[in-house]
Amino acid sequence: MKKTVWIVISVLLLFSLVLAACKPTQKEQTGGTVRYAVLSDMTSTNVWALYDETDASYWNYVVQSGHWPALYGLSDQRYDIIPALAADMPSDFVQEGDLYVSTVPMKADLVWSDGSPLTADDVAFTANMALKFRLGLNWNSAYNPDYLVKTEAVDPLTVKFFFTEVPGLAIWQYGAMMGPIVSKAFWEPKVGEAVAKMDAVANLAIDSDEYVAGQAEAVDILHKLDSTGEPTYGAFKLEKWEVGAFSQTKLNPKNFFIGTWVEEYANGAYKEYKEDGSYTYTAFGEPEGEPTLKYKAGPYFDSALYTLYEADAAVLALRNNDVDFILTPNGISQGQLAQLRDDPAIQIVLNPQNGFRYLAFNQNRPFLADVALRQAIAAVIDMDFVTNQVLQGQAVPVYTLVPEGNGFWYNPDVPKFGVGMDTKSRMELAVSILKDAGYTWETEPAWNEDRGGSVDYGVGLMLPDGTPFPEITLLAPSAGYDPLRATSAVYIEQYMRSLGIPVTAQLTNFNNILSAVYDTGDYDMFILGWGLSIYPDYLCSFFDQTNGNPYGYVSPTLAAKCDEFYLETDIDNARAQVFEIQNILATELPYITLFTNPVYDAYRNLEYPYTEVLDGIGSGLYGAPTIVKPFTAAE
Amino acid sequence: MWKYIITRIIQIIVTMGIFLSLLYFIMDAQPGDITLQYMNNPKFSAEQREALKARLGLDQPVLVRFGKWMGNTLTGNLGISYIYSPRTVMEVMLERAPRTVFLFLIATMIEFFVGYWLGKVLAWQRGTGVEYGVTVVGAILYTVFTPWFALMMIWLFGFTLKWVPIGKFLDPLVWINASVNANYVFNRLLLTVTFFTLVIVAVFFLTQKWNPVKANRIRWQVGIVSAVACFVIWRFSPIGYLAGDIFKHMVLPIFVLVVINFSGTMLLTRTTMLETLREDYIMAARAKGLPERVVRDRHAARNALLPVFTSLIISLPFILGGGIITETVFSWPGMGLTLLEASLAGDIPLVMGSSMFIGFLALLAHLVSDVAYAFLDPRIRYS
Repeated sequence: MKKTVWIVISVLLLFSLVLAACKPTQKEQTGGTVRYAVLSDMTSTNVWALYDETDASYWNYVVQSGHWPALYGLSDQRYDIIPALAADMPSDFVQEGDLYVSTVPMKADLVWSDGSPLTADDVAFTANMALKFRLGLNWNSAYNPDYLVKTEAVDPLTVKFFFTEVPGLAIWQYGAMMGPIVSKAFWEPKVGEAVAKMDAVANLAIDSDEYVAGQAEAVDILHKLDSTGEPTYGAFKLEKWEVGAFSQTKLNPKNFFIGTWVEEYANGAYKEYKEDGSYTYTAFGEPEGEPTLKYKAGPYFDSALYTLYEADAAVLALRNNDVDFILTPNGISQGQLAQLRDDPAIQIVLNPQNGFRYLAFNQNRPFLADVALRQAIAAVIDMDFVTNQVLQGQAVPVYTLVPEGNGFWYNPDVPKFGVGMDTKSRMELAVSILKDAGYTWETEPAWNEDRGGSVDYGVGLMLPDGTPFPEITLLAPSAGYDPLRATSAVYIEQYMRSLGIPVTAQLTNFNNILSAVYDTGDYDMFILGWGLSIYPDYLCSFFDQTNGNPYGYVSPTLAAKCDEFYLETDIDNARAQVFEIQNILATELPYITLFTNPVYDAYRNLEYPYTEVLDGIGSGLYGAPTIVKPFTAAE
Repeated sequence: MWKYIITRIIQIIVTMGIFLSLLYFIMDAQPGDITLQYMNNPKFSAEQREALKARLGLDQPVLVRFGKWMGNTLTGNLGISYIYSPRTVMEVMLERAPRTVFLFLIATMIEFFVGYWLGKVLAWQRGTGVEYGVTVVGAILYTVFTPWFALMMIWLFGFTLKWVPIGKFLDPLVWINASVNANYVFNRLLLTVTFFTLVIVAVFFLTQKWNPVKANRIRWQVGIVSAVACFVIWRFSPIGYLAGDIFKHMVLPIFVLVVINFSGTMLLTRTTMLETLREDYIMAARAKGLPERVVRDRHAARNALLPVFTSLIISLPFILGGGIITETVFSWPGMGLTLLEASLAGDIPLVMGSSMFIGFLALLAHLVSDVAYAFLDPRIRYS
């Protein structure tokens, strides 16, 4: 009895100790902090790593991508190029010796978050560092050493870019002009060791083993440099990162654009100004009439908090008012939306995705290199039916590689095989395309009215050379990874079988597909997807005609058009070329584009100046902490 | 005994070598490599991929890579994690391990004591409604689908009742102005738990020869005084509120882990107790007229403890691996979650580093349990 009493007392005591230790905390009201839920942690704060392959992730960018400025940016919703650090548009290119030079004027009195001046020296230092180390991925997209030779600060407010040839839009306007810029005063004293390593191999051939090893060592040193205390420029700066738990950014009151009014007009004009008249910038004509978009740039919060949650816990946290916004790269899933729709305090917005899922062919296998075959397959696949009936409207069919949401570059008039036709007409179109190309059957596909209107599958499809069509496999991600692609793969299998093509859909691990496509090349067909950039140079890079592409797709027509496009410096000409390239691709069909799915964002307590944005607020704007306001109910 | 221990150590080294080799080649045999995950980015060209492979050494044959990895490992260099680059594997592990160890060590100890206590009660009350009821409930909980159960608990206690926080392992609002990071607090909490455990173990051994009743009382008193002392130190520590916040977030994961896992120990204890109760010395103890509780706790339960204790010791190393499901559902960024991420992404250095420690500790635990047998049961001798 005595022992039992001891046990009870001690258990109660321990319990009370734990409860006492758990000091209750007051839930902070929105107003000072905008609270985001993130589903994965950051991995680095080193800017050299963040824009390189190793740490270029959505989860790093949602917190930090706005911290480093660029000379130019893209306007809201319309994606026009507008000056950021630059005072105006760059000069036209002029030839200086063997090089082609453009000069960029910068705004005066810009400062980093520590109050030090932000000048042309910072721009030149950043670009030259990226060039020296031949940094990859986003650094490479911005400062491409194959074209950009060097950058020079003429004076604190003027910077010159030197190219080997007059660069196209991807290299200049959507490349170097939008590259990130870091503080020279902070980084220059730190990079000495890395620079010395790089200088040691600078004179070697870049494909030599010694150069590769030396560069790898130098880049690793650069990536490991401590960035604590680095001055940044964005309206928020990183304040705290508790690994595995949360990160917090705080207002940088020295940011130039705080309190700037932004206006966009129906006639295409763009205007930025400060209320005190100290700054006004107008582009693309004179503003006329009422603006189609008008807002005053924030931030309206003192800080932004990014708390790490598991996906389902994040949904509960939003419902529980523990967070204001769930950030995800692909939006909220349908299952999670069902839990959020009933809460009147939660806003759900829907936006088109800048991406698509596609069906691709291994054209290194001659029987899949026939354009007619791919056109027939495109004709027979009824994506309207699949997306509307099978996928219950969760996806939208796409017929070109530029999604409709990317309006300026989207060509709505590409060839669309079978679109708008009924099943019978689709089948007949596909059969006629194949017949015209010399394909034959033992038993030709036929429309069977007796069964209520359906296709009698073709049997014994023969290639134009008279040999039987080989058994082929269609690789697609399993339902656990992406139910939309898995489901559509099963339907595509049946559509193709209806033509007599002996295909089997194999739903498999995502990495298995990537490995088959990019490593072994041992595949017939596959379904994957792309998330895209605004500027559609991917139309050419996906199907690289110079170094080859993973699909074995060869097209002299595309190669010629892409050569023109890469060198194009005029945006309207580039648009015309992009339209033509879309026509070529929609005709030759290296990809049969399948569908895109809308992006859903969910938030509460917040108010955005606009919610229509390509890829959604979470994916396209990283939650837009600099323009979002605390929600105030209408009086 | 020493000869036995040395032989076992040699066996451990050989086994570790085989284990690591197999693991490396199995990991490497997965389709693709870490660079594939960047292929989703349209800006990542084939040339950039080759350059990245060269930088990571992935362009070399697997035997060369394995040889380099083994050579570096023997010199204490576990390499750089691919997904947490440029951080080293050791840095990542040192950051994640304390969080996992602290959560799962406490959960394991609680579930062990709950299971052991219930097991011996069940064996003693064999055939009663209590035995059937507790056994059925235990079996149901043991077989419940863990992610579903954990999410239900979060929904019930976190979302509906609001008794505990939802997900995550700390409250950012509490930690925003903290001058130390979470690992600083975790490491000190681990030290506190270690100190507390050492005190309890020391007192247990020091009082072994004492009168059992007096020894038991002293053990409880020392235990409670130590616990209160630890609490007081933490309560008045400038980082005490941070530890309190961590404890608050641990309540639900520990509850879920204990509820799901205690019945394993309970059923094992019950089974071994039932076997022990058939022994002659139990009948002798009863014949001597000893109270039932003394027969149960001193004679039956202590002898039944041996396999249960072994089970506990062998399970302890796997604490380092954490519970992938538990850590995922509760957003607890420990070793389990790290191992999962590393495996999915093909981060071979991190997988190898984590697995090496878990494997080493598992083999060590087997050795410890073998040696502990000799201490727990004087009849056991190794030759």
